[in-house]
Amino acid sequence: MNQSLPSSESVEALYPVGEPLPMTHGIRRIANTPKRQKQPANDSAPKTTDDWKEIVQERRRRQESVAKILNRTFGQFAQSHPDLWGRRAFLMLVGVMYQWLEANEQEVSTEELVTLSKMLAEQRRAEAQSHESAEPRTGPEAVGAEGELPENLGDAVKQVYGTNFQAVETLKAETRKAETM
Amino acid sequence: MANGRDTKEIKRIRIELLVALKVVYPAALQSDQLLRSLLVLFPTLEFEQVKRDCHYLTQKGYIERVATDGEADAGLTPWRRRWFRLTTTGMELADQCIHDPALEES
Repeated sequence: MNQSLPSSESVEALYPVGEPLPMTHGIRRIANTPKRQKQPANDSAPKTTDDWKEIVQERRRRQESVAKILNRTFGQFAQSHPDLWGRRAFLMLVGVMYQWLEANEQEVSTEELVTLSKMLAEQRRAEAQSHESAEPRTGPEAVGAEGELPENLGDAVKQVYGTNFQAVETLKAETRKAETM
Repeated sequence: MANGRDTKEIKRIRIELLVALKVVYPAALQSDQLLRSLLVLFPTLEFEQVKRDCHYLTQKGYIERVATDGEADAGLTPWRRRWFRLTTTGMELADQCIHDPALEES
C-alpha cells in the first residue's frame, strides 16, 4: 500500500479538537480513546446452599412443566420412533422448544407454564377417555344394550335391527304345525 | 478450581447439564442450547466451560454425541452446533438410580 498517512495537522483540520466527530453513536471506537473496559457480568449466582436449593427447586418445577409440554407435543419420547432421534429437523424442534420454554422466563412465567402443562395434561386425558369409549366393544365380554347378552340369534338381530328374525326352517315348521292343528 | 469456579459450582453445572438432557431424553440438545439454558442459573458461564464439561461427561460415559442426518462430516460441525444426549448410564445417574461421588454435592 502506497497510501501515505495523513499528517496530524490535516487530521486536526478535518476533526477539530473538542468538537464531536461526524461518526456518531459510538459506531466506531476512536483510535486514541481508551478501550472500554469489559464490565464484569452481574454474578447473581446464589452464595449459600439454601439459596441454591430454593432456586433449583423453582427450576425443577419449571423443567417438569417443560417436560410435560414436550411429551404432549411430541409424544412420549421413550415410546417415540427411534429413527427420529437422529433427524436434525426433529431434534431442532425439540431443542428450540425446550430452550424457549425453559430459559425464556420473561416471555412465559413459570406459573403460566405450569397452568399450560396442566391444561395439556387434562386435554390428553380427555382425548384418551373419548378414544376408549369410541372403540367398538368386541370379544366375549361384549354385552347387549341393557348390559346382558342376548339369549339367541333372533334376539340379537332384534336388538341390532329392531325387527324379528326367524330362520326359514323354523318358520316353515311352525306354519305346518299350525295347519295340522 | 477451573476458571475461577469452585468445586461446588463445577459439580452444579455438570448436574444441571444432565438434568437438562434428561428433560428431552432420548432426544438431544445442542451445546449452544445447553449453554443458554444454564445461563439462567449461572449468569457468568462461558461456552468453553460447557465444552469442557461436555467432554468430561462424554468420557465418563454419561452423555454421547449424536450425529444427525444433516451432518455429512461430523468432525467439521462447530462445537456449538453439536448435539448431545444422555446415555443409559447418564439417565440412571440423572434419575439417581446410581451415584457418582464426583457429581454429588457434599
